[in-house]
Amino acid sequence: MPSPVLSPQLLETIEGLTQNLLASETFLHYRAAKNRLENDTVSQNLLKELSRVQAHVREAQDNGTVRQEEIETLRQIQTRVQENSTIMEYVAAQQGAVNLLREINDDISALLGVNFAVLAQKSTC
Amino acid sequence: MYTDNINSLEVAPLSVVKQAARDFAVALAETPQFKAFEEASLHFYKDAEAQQALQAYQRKLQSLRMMFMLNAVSPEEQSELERLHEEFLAYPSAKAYLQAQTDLVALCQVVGDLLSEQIGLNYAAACGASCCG
Repeated sequence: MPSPVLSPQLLETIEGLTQNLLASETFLHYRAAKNRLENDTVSQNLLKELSRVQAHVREAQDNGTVRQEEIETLRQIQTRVQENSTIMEYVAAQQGAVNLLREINDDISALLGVNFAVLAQKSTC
Repeated sequence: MYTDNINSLEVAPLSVVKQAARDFAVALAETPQFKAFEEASLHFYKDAEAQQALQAYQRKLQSLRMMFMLNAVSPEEQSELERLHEEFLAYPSAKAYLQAQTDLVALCQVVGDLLSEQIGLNYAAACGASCCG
């Protein structure tokens, strides 16, 4: 099926919506937090370590070979992540952006009479 | 200082963002795909026989849900379910509704992709949308 062509009017309002979203305090905050996280090597390494240890513990749990010290290591990394202000500020800022998008989607959906985000969702089932 | 950086930029107030969202919703409602969907929905929901056919199909599907999970649906039950589905799709109002829905979803997915690309967040996923109900 050919991809639908968007009318100039629709494209103009999409542009207006995205520009205003990006200029909202919530998104400025989110993008600044994201930039700080992306440029913070210590935080990046901590997140990589968390991901690596989580994957290892998950695999060990599946195989029934997980050891207590591995779980303890994972808990320690999780605590370090929670104490890392760059990561936690990013998490909070992203949640703020998500909340704003949900609020905006509620407004759009109320006007349309259908949930726009559900229609826009790509099927993964 | 981060706060100073934000203050030096032109910040869009929430009311302006919400107005932009309303403008977008109005433009989307004006598209041929949305208008066709509204019209097809109206006809479909007014078609009592098509609604009954849909309910019969949904009841059968619901009754077999557990058997599907266990992969234990008999060929007879599968055939009966397919028959009810075909019976439902034979109604022109149902067929038109599903086609209009498909066309609208295709449009909204393109719009959603564009929004996601520009804002750097997956719009539909952020809004908690799921195709799995």
